[in-house]
Amino acid sequence: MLNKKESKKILTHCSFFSKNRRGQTSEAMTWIVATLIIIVLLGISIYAASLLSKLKIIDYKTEERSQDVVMEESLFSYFSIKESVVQEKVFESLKKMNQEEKFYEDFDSKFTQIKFNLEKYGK
Amino acid sequence: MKNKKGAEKILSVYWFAILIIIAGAVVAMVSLFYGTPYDVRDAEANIMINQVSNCLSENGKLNQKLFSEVNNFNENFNLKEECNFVFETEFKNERGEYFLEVDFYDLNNEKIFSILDGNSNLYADCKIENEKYKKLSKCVDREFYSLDHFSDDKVFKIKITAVVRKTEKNVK
Repeated sequence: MLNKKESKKILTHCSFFSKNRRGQTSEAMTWIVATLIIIVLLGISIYAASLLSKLKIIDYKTEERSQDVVMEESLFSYFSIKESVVQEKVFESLKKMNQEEKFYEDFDSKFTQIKFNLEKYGK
Repeated sequence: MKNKKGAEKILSVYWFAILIIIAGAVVAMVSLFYGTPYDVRDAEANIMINQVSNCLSENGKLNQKLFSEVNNFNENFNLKEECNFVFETEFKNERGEYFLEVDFYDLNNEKIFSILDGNSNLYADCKIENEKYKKLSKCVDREFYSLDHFSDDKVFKIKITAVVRKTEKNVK
């Protein structure tokens, strides 16, 4: 026969809502939540990597270009034109193209640079 | 004591599983980022345009070979040959992966002459507005002015359109 003290001990141990079981459940919950947080963070990182991979486009215009060959060609022809009416027409068109951001290089600084060089070293 | 050992075993299995998950995610991230190729078609098309502008016009004057005689453009001008282009690629696309179009306009914006080379079917891709099919080919067009080889007052507006397909190598 079990005495009163021993039977109480067994009852406490077998009880479903015992302190020990509750402690184990909360510990397990912590690990489950931690695992879920890790998985969610990894999922976000994978998604971010896939988004970044879509940005792997080398844009010629936005890359740092030291010169715009096509624009320079236009400027050389502009300075070679003899007739002022035609020259003005071309300049207006070039200015419009500059406003539309069709050039890859700073138009005004290149214009000044070529003009200076042509005046200094002759045409 | 026995109970503690069991808990440690379960924890070590858990850590091992977490380690595998994290390692797998890192591998997935790296392969996703580095597995996607760089899309260099825009740069390639721009380099082609630079090459064409350089070979058609020198110091602001059009190449003499463009003219058969004064005021007449040379219909037999071979763009590929004159500008040193090689359109053959490793891809087995018989029609080619490149297309070049050069249009010559007068100052009143009237088209006077045109030179085409490469796979002209690619030009249709430039007109597609649908985002899904925009990846098919990369089209770049640029304009510049150049003087007639024989006259300092006759100016042409030259529009160069370069189309590069090479989708397999640049887009995943």
